[in-house]
Amino acid sequence: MSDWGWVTFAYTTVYLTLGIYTISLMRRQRSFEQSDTER
Amino acid sequence: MKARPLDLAAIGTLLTAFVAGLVVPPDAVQGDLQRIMYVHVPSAWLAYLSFTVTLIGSVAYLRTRSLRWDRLAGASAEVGVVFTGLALATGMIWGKPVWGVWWTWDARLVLTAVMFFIYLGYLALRRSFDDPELRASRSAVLGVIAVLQIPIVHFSVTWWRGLHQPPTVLRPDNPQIDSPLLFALLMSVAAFTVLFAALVSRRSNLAAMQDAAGESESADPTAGAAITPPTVGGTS
Amino acid sequence: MRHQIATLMRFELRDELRGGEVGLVVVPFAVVALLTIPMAVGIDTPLLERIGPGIYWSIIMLFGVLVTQRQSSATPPAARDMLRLAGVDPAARFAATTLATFLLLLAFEIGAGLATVALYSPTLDSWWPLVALLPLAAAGLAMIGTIAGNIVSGLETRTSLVALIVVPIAVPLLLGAAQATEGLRVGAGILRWVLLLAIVDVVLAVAGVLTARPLEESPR
Repeated sequence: MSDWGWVTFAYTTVYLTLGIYTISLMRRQRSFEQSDTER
Repeated sequence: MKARPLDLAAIGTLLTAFVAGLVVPPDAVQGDLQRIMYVHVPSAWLAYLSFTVTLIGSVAYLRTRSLRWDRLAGASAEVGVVFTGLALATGMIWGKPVWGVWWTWDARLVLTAVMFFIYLGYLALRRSFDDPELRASRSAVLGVIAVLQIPIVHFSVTWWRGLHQPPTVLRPDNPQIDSPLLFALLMSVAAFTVLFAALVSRRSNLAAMQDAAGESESADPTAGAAITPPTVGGTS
Repeated sequence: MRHQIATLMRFELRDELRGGEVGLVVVPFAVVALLTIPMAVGIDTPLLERIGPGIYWSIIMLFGVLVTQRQSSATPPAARDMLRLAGVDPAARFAATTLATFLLLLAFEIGAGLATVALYSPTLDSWWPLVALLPLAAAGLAMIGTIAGNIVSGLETRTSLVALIVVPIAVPLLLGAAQATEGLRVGAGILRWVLLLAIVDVVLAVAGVLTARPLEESPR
């Protein structure tokens, strides 16, 4: 694999992981806010 | 759940750092592989920062018994484990083309791995408790002990590997680093730190909502729950 | 205070001798582990001679956790409350449990050590420093184990959680003991490793005493 291939691998891993974590965090927050208004 | 200033700052700095890392010229020695450092070094820095914040939160909780500090410690640990895992992953992705192996038993890599598992244990402990106060006090003790062990683990691993002069994963303290590369590196560190702050803030808020929801659920006790064995002290 | 520690320690050891978990279960388990490793990696006698001591210390660290979390050391919250009402200092309880665990770990180390010598035939320049190494390692592990046990007391899934908590924190103990023994094997200096073990033990002792009361007084 070329150098740029490895760089892409690293960047994809990092930003994908951070993106997934951030989105899951936002969804957990949203579901709480929704159940709060239902209460 | 509007985008707050911290979120916008995180997005802005991350974009800048991302572009800088790609646009900057390749390193004279390492070539384009050097660009992995723009995600590896910030992740490693945040691994240490989040541990420190967990320590601060733990000590502050033990002194004030205010759950806000416990939630900060927990949030920082959860975000920290993500960044520590990324530090390990990027360190390995860098090491494979350079040294031919995924794991080089470099002192810093081993230390980061040990820290990762200390985090996991701490988070596993937190998940085991229902009562926020109990969770807070037990986690705070573990938080203080675990983090205070880190320097000792660092020295023991460095002594151990120091005898064998292993290849180092990175040379961030390389004095020959050119200013555009240095800018990209510092920009990345700053961006990741802002992101860390934004994520910890969100995670703490989520924890506050979870704790509040837990308390209101106890308003409907199950039958027979009112009868408990006599205890000394405890919550009343 | 010393009287409290001695009495509590005697009770714990008596309970353990009655149940026999360490001697009859954990030591045999460790010996089984020592047996299975050459089954897995191959019976290259010179290689096993060389790595035997390292494997021994790995087994001690991993399986020693089971000794620290033995059934007889689990004190239910009701019993703990009784002790507090009786005026027992939490630090004394920590010291008593740690001392009992230390003695049991020492016995465990000797048992597993005999098995290692039999199965791996390691050769050491000098065996005498082990008289210091075994207790230093056992003391550190006993203290971490006791603290971890107090942190998770009242929870149901204790053992695997404690193992996950203890082992990464015990890495300096493992490195100190294993590198010292490796030094004995090749005739190199071991002072820095003995010093490391001693420092870790002191730090853990201080941590254990300081955290005994906050842990005791945590709400149920």
